[in-house]
Amino acid sequence: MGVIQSFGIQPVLLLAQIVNFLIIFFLLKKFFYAPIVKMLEDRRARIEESLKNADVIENRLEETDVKVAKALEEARANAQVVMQDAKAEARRIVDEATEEGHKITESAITEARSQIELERLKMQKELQGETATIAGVLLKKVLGRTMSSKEKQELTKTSISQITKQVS
Amino acid sequence: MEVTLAAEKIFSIGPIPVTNTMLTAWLVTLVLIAFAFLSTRKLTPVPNPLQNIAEFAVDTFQDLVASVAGEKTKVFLPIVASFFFFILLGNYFGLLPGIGTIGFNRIEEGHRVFVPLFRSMNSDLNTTLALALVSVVITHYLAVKYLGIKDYIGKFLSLHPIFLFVGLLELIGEFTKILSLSFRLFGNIFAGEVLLSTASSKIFAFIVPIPFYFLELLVGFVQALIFAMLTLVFMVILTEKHASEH
Repeated sequence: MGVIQSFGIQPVLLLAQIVNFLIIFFLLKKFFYAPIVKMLEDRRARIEESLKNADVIENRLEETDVKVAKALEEARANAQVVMQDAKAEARRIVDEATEEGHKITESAITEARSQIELERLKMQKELQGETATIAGVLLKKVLGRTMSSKEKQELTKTSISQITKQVS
Repeated sequence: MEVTLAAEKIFSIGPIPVTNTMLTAWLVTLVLIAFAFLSTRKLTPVPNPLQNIAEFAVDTFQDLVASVAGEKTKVFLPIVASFFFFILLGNYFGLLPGIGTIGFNRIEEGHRVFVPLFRSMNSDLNTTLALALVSVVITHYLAVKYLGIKDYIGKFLSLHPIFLFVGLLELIGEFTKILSLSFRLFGNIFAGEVLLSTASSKIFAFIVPIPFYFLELLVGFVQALIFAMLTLVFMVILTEKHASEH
C-alpha cells in the first residue's frame, strides 16, 4: 500500500482519468475518425472512378480521331471527284462558248461579206452610169471637130461599150 | 525545484481532488476535441488546411493499423489512434514553457513547497494506469466479441495440463500488461520531467536544456507510438482464433 500511496494512486483520480479518456475516445470515434475515414474512402472511390472515366474518355477520343481521319479522307475523295466533274463541266462550257462564238463570228462575217458585195454592185452600177455619161461627154468634146456626125456616133457607141466592159 | 512522484492536488470539486496532471489532461482533452471539431466542421472533397492535417494523421495511422490488423482495422483504428493522439499531445504539452514552472508556493509540514499549476499528464501514474486499464479492458472486450465467450475462456483454461499451465501464464501476462504499459509510459515521461527540471535549474538554465528538449520530443513520440502499437498488437493477438486443434 505504501508504494501505491507514494505514486499518488487514488481510485477517484484513476476513475476520473478513465472517464476522461473514454469521453475522448467516443467523441473522436464518432466525430473525428468516422467522418474522416468516410471522406478518405469517398475520395479514393471518386479518384478510382475518375481514372476509369479518363480511360473511357481516352478510348473515345481515339475512336473519334479515327472517325475524323476517315471522314476527312472521304471528304477529300469526294472533293476530288467534284473538282474533276467541275473541271470537265467548265471545259465543256468553254468549248461550247467558243464554238458558239465561232459560229456567231462566221455568220457575222458572211453577212458582212454579202452586204459588202451588194454595196459594191450598187456602187458599180452607179459608177457605170456615171462613167458612161462622162465618157460620152468627153468623146463628144474631143471628136466633135474632126469627125463626121456618123463616125462620131459609131465611135461613141464602141467607146462607150468598151469602157463599160473595162469598168465592169 | 523538485519533482514529486505523486501529482500535487490543486483544489477539490466536492470530494474529488483535482491534481495538476488532471488539469493538464483536461486541457489536452479540450485541445484534442477542439481540433477534431474544427477540422471536421466543414468536410469538403478539396480539404482545407486543418482538414488536410486531420486526413494526413488519420490516413497515416490507418495504413499503420491496417498493416497489422487487416480487416479489423475499422474497429481497432479509433481505439489505437485515440491512445496515440492523446498520449502524444499530452507528452508534448508537458514540454511547453510554463507547464511545470508556473505555480504557487504552499506550506506543507513546515516547509515551503512549490506546486506547479500544470504538470505533464503522463508523469502521473494515475493517468498511465487509467490508460493501461482501458487498453487491456477494451482488448478483452474485443476478444470476447470476436471469439465468443467459450473460445475466449479456452484461451486461458484448458483440460490439457500443459495448455492449462500456458493458459495460466497468459493470464498472469494479462496483468503484467497493465503494469508494463502504465509503468513504461509513466517512467519515461517522469524521467524526462526530472531530467528537464534538473537540466534547467540554476546555472544550467540556458542552452544546456535544449538537447534534452529534443530528446524529450523524440521520447514523447516514441512512447505514444509504443503504447498505441502494443495495444494494437495485443488486440490482434487476443482476437485471433486459437489454433487449439493440435
